[in-house]
Amino acid sequence: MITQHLLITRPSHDYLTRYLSAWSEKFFSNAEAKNYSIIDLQKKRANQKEFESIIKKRSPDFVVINGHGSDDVITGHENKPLITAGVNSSALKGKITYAISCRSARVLGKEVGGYDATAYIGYQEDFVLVYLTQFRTRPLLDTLVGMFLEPSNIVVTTLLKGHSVKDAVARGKKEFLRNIQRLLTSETSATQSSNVRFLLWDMQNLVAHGDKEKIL
Amino acid sequence: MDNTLSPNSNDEIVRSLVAERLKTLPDGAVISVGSDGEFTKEQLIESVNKGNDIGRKMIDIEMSFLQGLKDGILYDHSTSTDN
Repeated sequence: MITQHLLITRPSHDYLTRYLSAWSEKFFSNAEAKNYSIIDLQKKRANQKEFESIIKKRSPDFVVINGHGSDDVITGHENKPLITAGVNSSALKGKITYAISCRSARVLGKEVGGYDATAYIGYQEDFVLVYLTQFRTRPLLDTLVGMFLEPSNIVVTTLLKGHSVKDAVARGKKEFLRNIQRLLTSETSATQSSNVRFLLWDMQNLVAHGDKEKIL
Repeated sequence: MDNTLSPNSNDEIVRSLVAERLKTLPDGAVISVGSDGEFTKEQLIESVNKGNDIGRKMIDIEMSFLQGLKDGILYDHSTSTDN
């Protein structure tokens, strides 16, 4: 069987990136089970030079980018630019990219989605997370943040199962919605249900550009 | 009696509503708003009252939520990839 490559960037220089990094590990076993080789650019390795080099040498089919972002850029370690619209976005040509980052779907995602046979999934507004200070050093124990990052991980696992970009986004949104509905039930405390507005925000801002029928 | 509200009164009501909603967040919760950083609920409430960028973002989020309730989106299983 031909091994496919999944490239992931996981900076972890602040609490947000540590959370994203830790929760991304949850889908590694799914990827390996589907015979994916994971190229994991962690911490200092999440930099533009290494990112471009790996893409050139290994040509991954699937790219997952964790990091801070804005309309036209996603950053890596220490918030240094990793991929920027009008600079090196063509590195993502022909691939499926999922960016867990703020606002990158607005400009960068549209640009990447404009390349042939390419898809970009991301958020068109700030990606909001709510977590508890007591778990900041043990992010995987924080079930509150899981309400945000489990739906995000479902986007990845749906793609790994061979479903289309369109289906992956729909399933991610559905999981956000399921969590929202759980929080709206009468058994849930008012403090927990106060997170509903942030889950809905992330759900509504999860979008895809480019070839939405593309599969891995 | 004149029941109409001036734009300023509306803004005040919205800010007050959003600040009250934020008070229901769990104690010890931190809200990460992308590259703007992370905030406690007290900091968010202060931002809303001041009307700064983060405060305005919280108002956007609340208004989006209320619109979602009005549209019935929270009970709708059909989702779209379109923006």
